[in-house]
Amino acid sequence: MSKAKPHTTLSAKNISIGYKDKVVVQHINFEVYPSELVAIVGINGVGKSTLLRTLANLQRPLAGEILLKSKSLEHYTTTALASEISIVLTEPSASKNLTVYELIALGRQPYTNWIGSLSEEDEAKITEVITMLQLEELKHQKCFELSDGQLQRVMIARALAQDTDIILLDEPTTHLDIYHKVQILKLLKNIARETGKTIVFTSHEIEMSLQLCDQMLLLKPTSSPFGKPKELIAKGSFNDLFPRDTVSFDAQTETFRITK
Amino acid sequence: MKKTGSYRIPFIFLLLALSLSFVLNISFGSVSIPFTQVLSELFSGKIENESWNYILWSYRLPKALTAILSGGGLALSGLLMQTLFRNPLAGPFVLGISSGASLGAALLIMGSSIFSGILSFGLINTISLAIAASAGSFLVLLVVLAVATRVKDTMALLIIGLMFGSITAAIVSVLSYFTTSEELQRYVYWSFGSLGDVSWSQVSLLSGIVIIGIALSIASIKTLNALLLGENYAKSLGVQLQKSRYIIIIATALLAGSITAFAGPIAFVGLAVPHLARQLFNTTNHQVLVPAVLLCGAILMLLCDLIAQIPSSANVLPINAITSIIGAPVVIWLLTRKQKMLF
Repeated sequence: MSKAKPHTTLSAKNISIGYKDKVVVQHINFEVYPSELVAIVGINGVGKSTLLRTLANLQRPLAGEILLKSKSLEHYTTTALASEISIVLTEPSASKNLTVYELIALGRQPYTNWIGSLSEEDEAKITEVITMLQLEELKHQKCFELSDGQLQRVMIARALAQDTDIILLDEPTTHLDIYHKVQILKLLKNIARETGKTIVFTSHEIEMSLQLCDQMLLLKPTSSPFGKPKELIAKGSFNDLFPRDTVSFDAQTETFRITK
Repeated sequence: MKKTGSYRIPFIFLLLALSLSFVLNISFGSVSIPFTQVLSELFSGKIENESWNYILWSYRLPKALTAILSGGGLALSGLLMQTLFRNPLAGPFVLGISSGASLGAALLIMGSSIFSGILSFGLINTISLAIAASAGSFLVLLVVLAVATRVKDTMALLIIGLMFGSITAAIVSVLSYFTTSEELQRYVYWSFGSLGDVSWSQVSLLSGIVIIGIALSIASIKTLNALLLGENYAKSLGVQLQKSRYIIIIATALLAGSITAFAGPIAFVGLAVPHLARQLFNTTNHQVLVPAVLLCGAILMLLCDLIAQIPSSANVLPINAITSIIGAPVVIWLLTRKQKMLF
């Protein structure tokens, strides 16, 4: 096969994000490719979720252009977008009365008929996803019976069942202990490798993201550097992320240290 | 979702229960007609007594059909609202939709004499009553929706529903102060709720509106299932939120508004039946729930009406009182049993 660089799945051209009366972040640029795990990191309240919502077309960018497979995001209809981008938000499903299977099956909606009946193909996909995420035992449980970590895996399974080239996740590791954090991130990494999907997630787990991600976007109000973790460290992008008299970045160990 | 086919047995059971309560409903009333005669009239059209024939055809059958339509319709509107507002306590009564319908009806019945200069039609027929009540409920629903998009807190919605109840009560008391006693009596009787006194032409009009409401709901089944995840997820699954919301609201307003217009404000059916159906079928899939609430609502209403008749007595209790007496304990039972209400 050709060795040419694969086409970008999602890219941002100098976008500004925010709300009507308030620009949150300006001049965001990035390009992500198939099979990549990409983290959007930054300090609390910088606008990570706003960016993710903008990428999911839940709100519009204030300026600039987002390209999905080299076509502007604005030109996709809601229906067309449903088979391109799936999301996992911080809010869990509104109804906790759904069973795990029912919730994952809802991911097939873009492909089902007018009344939402599942075809054999849909069911095969759902079973595949359930096996992949090892949810067989939870299949018939209701969502309100699950732990946070299990529910997060179910929400990821739903996004996978939607079978889109891009999966966007907002803070997939909050409320989880370190073991479950790593478990979820490694799971995402494997999904990206095995399925060729592009996975973009927001996180304030900068150290873990440095170890696992292919590319990172460090969101800051004025300039948001984007690149491979090593490149960003070499450029010193993390050094002034937090006030240095409190927390400083150690490039050697790739960790943050409390300044004593 | 589980295959809809695996729900066949409970559905057959419900259909049997519906037929049974239908036959029971038309067999009892202020005049006692032997049960065998009712069956023979239903199946072969033969009955001994000509007046029994008249009672069955002109009074009991339209009443039983109204019970089926209003029970099923109110339950369906409750289900639509619980899913749309992501609130297990939503229902036509709690959210003030019935109050809106009452307000429309009150303005029409009692306001027409006060504003006779403007509203000199003098045509308070059932159709104008249905339009007024539907318009009232539609307006309230729009306000509730506007608030629901702005306020995420579900408690606020319920409080707003209560406020609409208060506003309605206030306007009704102002109106009743100025109105004639005949019109006041007419409104009070309407607000008791009654399934009787409906002619065949009214039943056919009501069934027409209810069928439109059901059709819109069936068309929304896929959207309703997506909305179980929340609006953002629904949008990411390809749901056109704005459009779907309006379709669901129009369906709710048609159902709740028209039924309230014909049968008066009937409490608790819309709130309690969807929970009963979820318990019975143990699913949240609207492919199952929509037919299930229609059947359960119809059965419950037929039975409530049967109780309201006080068999073999000339007295008829207000249907609204019966549904409340049965519905409120059901809600309390659900709350205490499951610790929290889910939708």
